[in-house]
Amino acid sequence: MGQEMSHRAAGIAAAFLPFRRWRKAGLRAALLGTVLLTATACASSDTGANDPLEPVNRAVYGVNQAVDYVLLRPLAYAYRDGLPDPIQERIGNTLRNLASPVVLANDLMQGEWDRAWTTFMRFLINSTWGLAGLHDIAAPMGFKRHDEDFGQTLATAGVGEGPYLVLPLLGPSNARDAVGRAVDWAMDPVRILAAAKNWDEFQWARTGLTIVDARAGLIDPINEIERSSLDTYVALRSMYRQRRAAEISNQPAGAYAGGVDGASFDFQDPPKKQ
Amino acid sequence: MMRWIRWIAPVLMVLVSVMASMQAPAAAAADLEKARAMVAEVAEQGVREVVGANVPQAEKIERFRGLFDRYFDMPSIARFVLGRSWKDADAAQQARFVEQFRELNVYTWARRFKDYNGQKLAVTGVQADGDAGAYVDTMVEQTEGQKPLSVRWRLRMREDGWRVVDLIVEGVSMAITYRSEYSAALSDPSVTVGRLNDLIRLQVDQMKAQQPS
Repeated sequence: MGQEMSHRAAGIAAAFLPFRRWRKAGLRAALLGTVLLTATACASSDTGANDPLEPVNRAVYGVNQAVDYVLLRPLAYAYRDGLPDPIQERIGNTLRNLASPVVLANDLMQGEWDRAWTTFMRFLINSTWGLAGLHDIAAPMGFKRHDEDFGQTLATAGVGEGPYLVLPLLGPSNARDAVGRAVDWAMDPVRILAAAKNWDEFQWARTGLTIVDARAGLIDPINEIERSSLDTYVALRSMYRQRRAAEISNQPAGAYAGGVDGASFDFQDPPKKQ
Repeated sequence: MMRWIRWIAPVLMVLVSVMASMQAPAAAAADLEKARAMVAEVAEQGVREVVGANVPQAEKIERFRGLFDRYFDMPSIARFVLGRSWKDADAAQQARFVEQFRELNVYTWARRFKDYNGQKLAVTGVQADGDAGAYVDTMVEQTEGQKPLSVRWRLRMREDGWRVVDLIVEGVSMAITYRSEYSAALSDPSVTVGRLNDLIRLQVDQMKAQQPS
């Protein structure tokens, strides 16, 4: 059954890969690498930290931290504390509207018809009456935003997460989600259109703002992790896995308990006497 | 006459069994109502006595520690996060770990007291988690127009009522995250529970030093 499902996912993935010729050899190699990793990892069980590549991951994490410290973090602070809130909100709305075709495609591939309808209506309403996505007027009309990506689509088709990966600049991921990111990027109609029209400034602005907007939203949580954890690498690894599991479940956020039985908090024998 | 009895007997049996089956969930429902009430009570007391109270930070911390001890099952949480290493530690180390881990949590939260600005917590749902557990789902408002956070409270039934054993924030369990972190640290053979205690002690001291007055 599980095997059948992952074959189905591979079929879905294969259907999308030739969608566009890969111009960059580097990307093709990276993608092939992650696909191979997924293939090998699907066989392994998911116990413990699921991090066979820890030394490499830690090295990448170190570089990411440095880039974050000198570049992303200051930009995120300037964005969050320097720009008026309504402007940030409009930037965020516009970015999410541009990303919604990819969300819609993944809703459809997962067979989530209700959610696909919601995303479709959001895109339609916000792109027109919402002035090209500046305003999210679909949410008050009952079409609430949700996220979906190809990593989650693969997961619902039965593909395991594969080993934990820290991607250069992009941060915590795993083999499955790294492939998912590449596929989402490849099938993004907005990006394809902009590339065809040579809208380079638009592409750079969109990518840059997406990264800064996302990092700005993580300022408080990341500061918190850095202060309260002994090893931020391990804390982020654990949180990433839990968060993805919750997202894949499509339950209202927070509905997932990490697969830990409640009885794990019950201890029969009393603590040792002093 | 006999016909009538033959007809009514199964109906009565069905009725009785339906009523019996309603009896059990009804008892559980009362417990779930208590779980919901307790979470609302923790939130209300937290605002009234700690974050919203006009007292110095030291007093807030003292009161918060009291709330923590009353509503959270700290010994169980500490034991859960230590995992297998709990048994390797002697009684003194275990007791010290429970104490340090509680202080780490108290001071982690204490740094956020000053950010309180009237944000509200709303209980959105409650459900059973096995025989002796419950989940209470809440939405917590955030500062500056950020999206509200979903926080799920995991409760276990103890002899004298419900106790909180975990908070699951946007799908991320605090207990599981701490457990991953400590088990990674303890997988290094040079790190014993005693050494872990020292490391946590350093963290707590650092946070104490950064505390606003």
